[in-house]
Amino acid sequence: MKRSQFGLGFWLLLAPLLLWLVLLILLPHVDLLLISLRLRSGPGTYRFSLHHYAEFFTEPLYWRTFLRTAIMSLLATLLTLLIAFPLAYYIAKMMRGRAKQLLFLLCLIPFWVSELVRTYGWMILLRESGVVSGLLQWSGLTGAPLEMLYNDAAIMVGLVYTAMLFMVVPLITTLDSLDDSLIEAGYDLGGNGWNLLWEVVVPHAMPGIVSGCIVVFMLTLGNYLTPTLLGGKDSLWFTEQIYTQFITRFNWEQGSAFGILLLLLSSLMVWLGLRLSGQSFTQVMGR
Amino acid sequence: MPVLECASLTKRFADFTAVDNVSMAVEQGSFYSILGPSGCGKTTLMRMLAGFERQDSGNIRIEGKSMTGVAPNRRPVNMVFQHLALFPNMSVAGNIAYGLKRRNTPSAERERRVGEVLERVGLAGSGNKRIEQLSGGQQQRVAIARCLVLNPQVLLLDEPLGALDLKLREHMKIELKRLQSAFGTTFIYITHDQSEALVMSDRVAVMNHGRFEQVGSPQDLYYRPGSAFVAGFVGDNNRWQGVIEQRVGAKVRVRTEQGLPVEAQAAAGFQGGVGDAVELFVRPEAIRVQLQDGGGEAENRLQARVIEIVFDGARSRLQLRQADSAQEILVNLPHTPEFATLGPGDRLYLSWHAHQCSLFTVGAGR
Amino acid sequence: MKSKVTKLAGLLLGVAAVTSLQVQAETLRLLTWGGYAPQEVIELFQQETGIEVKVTKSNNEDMISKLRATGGAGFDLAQPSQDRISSAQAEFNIYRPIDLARIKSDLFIPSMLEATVKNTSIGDKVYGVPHVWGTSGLVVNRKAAPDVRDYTDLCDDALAGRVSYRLKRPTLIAFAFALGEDPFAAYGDRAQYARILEKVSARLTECKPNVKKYWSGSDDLLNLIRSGEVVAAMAWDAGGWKLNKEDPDTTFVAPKSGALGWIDTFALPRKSKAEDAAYQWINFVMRPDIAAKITAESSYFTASKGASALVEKEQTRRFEESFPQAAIDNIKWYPPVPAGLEEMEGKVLDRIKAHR
Ligand SMILES: Nc1ncnc2c1ncn2[C@@H]1O[C@H](COP(=O)(O)OP(=O)(O)O)[C@@H](O)[C@H]1O
Ligand SMILES: [Mg+2]
Repeated sequence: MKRSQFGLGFWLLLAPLLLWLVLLILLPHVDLLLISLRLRSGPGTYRFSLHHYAEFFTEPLYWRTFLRTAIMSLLATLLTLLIAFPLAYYIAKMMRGRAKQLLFLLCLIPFWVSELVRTYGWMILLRESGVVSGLLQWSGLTGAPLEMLYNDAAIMVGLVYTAMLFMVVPLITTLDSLDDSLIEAGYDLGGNGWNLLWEVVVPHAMPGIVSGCIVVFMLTLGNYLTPTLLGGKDSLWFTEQIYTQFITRFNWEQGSAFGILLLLLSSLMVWLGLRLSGQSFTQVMGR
Repeated sequence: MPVLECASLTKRFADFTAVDNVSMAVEQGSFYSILGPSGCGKTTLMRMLAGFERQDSGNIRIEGKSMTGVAPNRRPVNMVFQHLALFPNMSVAGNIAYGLKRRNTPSAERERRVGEVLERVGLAGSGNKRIEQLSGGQQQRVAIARCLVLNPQVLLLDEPLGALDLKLREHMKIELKRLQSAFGTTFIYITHDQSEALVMSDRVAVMNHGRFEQVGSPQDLYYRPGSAFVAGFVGDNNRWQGVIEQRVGAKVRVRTEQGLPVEAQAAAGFQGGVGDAVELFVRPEAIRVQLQDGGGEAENRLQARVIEIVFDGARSRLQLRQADSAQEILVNLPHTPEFATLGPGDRLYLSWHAHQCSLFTVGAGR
Repeated sequence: MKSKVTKLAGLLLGVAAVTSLQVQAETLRLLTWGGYAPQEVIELFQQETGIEVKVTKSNNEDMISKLRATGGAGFDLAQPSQDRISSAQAEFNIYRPIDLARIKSDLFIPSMLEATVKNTSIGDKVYGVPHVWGTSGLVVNRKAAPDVRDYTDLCDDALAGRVSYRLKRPTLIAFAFALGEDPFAAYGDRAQYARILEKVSARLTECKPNVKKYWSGSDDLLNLIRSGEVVAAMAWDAGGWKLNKEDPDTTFVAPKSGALGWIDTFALPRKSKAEDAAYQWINFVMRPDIAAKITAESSYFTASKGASALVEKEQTRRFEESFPQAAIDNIKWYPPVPAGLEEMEGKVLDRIKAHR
């Protein structure tokens, strides 16, 4: 009797979703896990082993790159938040009508071109024979050409730029829903800008902040083009390591182990983020 | 000396004047209402008092000190917002303690005062509740307590009962008045509901198109409206257009457009003469209704037939038509037994005194 | 209602027609390097045979990865380097043998054909025939960096921040030769090879501050040199000659310790669907007139016999300027890579990359 609660139609409607989940998300990950747990014991033959995970922990190069990627991603997320928050606040709370839509659109413009083109744009700006260097020389601020590419700062600039939209949009959405009179009430009761920010605005925007941070962190962690192109000889990004293992080393087993580790890291970070901010997943993703 | 005074306040948005040359003086400890239709500029006026809008001209003084250039968080006034604006992420106690924290009140004293004010508004023990756990009326009281705990010179309330249902609104009217006299704080209360203003206020300012039409006690406004607008806005009224047929001193006879002659008494300063167009107001509740002609000394006496009974409990009305002139008249339905069988078409005898009519020349106020 | 049905039927018919057309027109899916299949040559081939050529640009590692992922499907003809075939075939079984009888062998320079066939054989099965050959050496702006004669000269303090090379196995091999070792001789001796790698690794780590950027694609490198940001680099000869056309100061220099010679081949992916077309393409592009067109377009030389006679004079002059007879004799040709070495090299490359 209970079964009739979900009729045939329900299951038919659900089928594409389930199929999508299983085929495109679950299966590849299971496959990745299985590959990562085997060790080549001869041409074309394999046996079960944790070797590739051991390799990760014993080879400083790998876990250092991993750590570096995680820390840089966290930093990029934080920077993106710090830059995006005032911007989002300005757009959501200070702007009205057409000006608001226009500014919002302006934030979208960089995303009309592909990530590759955007990154090349930064390379044209920052390279030694590039626009910024040229301007600095022309204005007499520096005598010689200045190389601003191929360092961590350049990576950071690229990452933050790429991630900006994914922070600004959820922030604008949550801030938009903040009643202006809450802020005025705070002022009226003797508050000033700073403690209003912390006690009224930020708590209200928390779901947006957390969802923005989660998305930006995951995007940054999984970014490949930006760190490799802007980082040059010192880029060292974990996805690059995965790519190398898969493509140039033909070592799918090691690459898979790295992939699983990266997946674990991002899941852990999402969990921690939700935990620390006291948000629930549905609350955050509902934004 | 009044606790709050403003002189010739004006506020324009682009070429629209929202508040037009308003002056007011509010006595310490009084309940002062500003009553006007939606869009007449009440909120704008209040936001200027609180400091959220800057006046274009005029000035505001609180306890004699000019408020020009003083930020909202430094004015000795607090505001209860139209939608309350309670902080949803804080508990009830957190909301009330917010302003005290901003004043660096020591935490022990803070706790004591929060507890005290909660008790006075009848919410003792609710300090740890979340805002959304409270009913609408309780939230109302938290919003007020949040301000009162700071002992403001003046408490500004912007249609705080607007969002409540009718029953609760009736209850809160009494409650608010009680709170105000218990705390002794000066209230400036905005509303578009004349009943709220009449029930609670010591003084009421009636506002229209950015201007104050009349300031007075509820009784003044009800019995002696200063303008056609006030007469129409405060309480219900029969509103008739007509022309002065005869004037002898204060005694005036008006013939309405439908042709009904009405004896009225001109108020002091009424300028109208014979032939002038006027508006004439008679309150439904001022008209005596009888089944037989009872005689008496009332100047206006006539017969009319029932067209319709508009049943609304205690506020039920009769729609009547006078036989000769076809003038329609609204009167209260008496709830005495002899009227129980009344039906459309029945004849009634009406009478009222000349001094119960209000008279205004058209276009020129009084 | 009726019109909707007819529209739908028409749409379906249209789709069917398009797909059947696609099946009829034969296509050759070519997995190759940039410059090996110029548009002009593709068009001539289609005029002559009616076969359409679809080009996917790639490199050695990428070719192997792509074919490995599909077990040798998705492409009809690939062009890996001759030293990378036998180990990949042994490990992943991604190619099928070439039927030499279907190749017009008199179109090939005999010595090159013979060497490639030998290097790409497993047992009596042949997996590759030669197409394009070239060398890795130095591309130098002779005005800005007059003293660069060998790979290790790139580490000269005077050139700090002005040099570039790839972080790939050819660089390891090149530096090994420049440091006086013979890595090819050590291919069979892992301990010896590890020792050499250690030495090279130390040198490349030390050299890292000199490097502007490890280049990844040849356009990337050419732009760095054109803008003057890089004045000396380890790179392919063709790139040097391309730049020489634009700026006579810059050209390819065969290093003192020897340029590294590579031969890129034709190999048949195991699940090739257009074998006939593949053989036709091979025999077509090896024709001297066609091979000369490829050289003119990309500066690469081919294994086509008699094509060099058709190559324009300027091109020959550049070649001779870079390669005196002694330098030609000194070219180190890559022998097939034994399995396992690349893993060792990989770790060394990772460490160099990670060093700060
Ligand atoms: N910031 C503003 N900009 C332009 N017009 C405004 C602004 N605030 C209020 N108004 C206009 O001023 C008039 C009075 O508004 P308000 O004071 O809110 O009226 P009330 O509170 O009496 O309903 C309205 O017509 C409103 O549209
Ligand atoms: Mg209002």
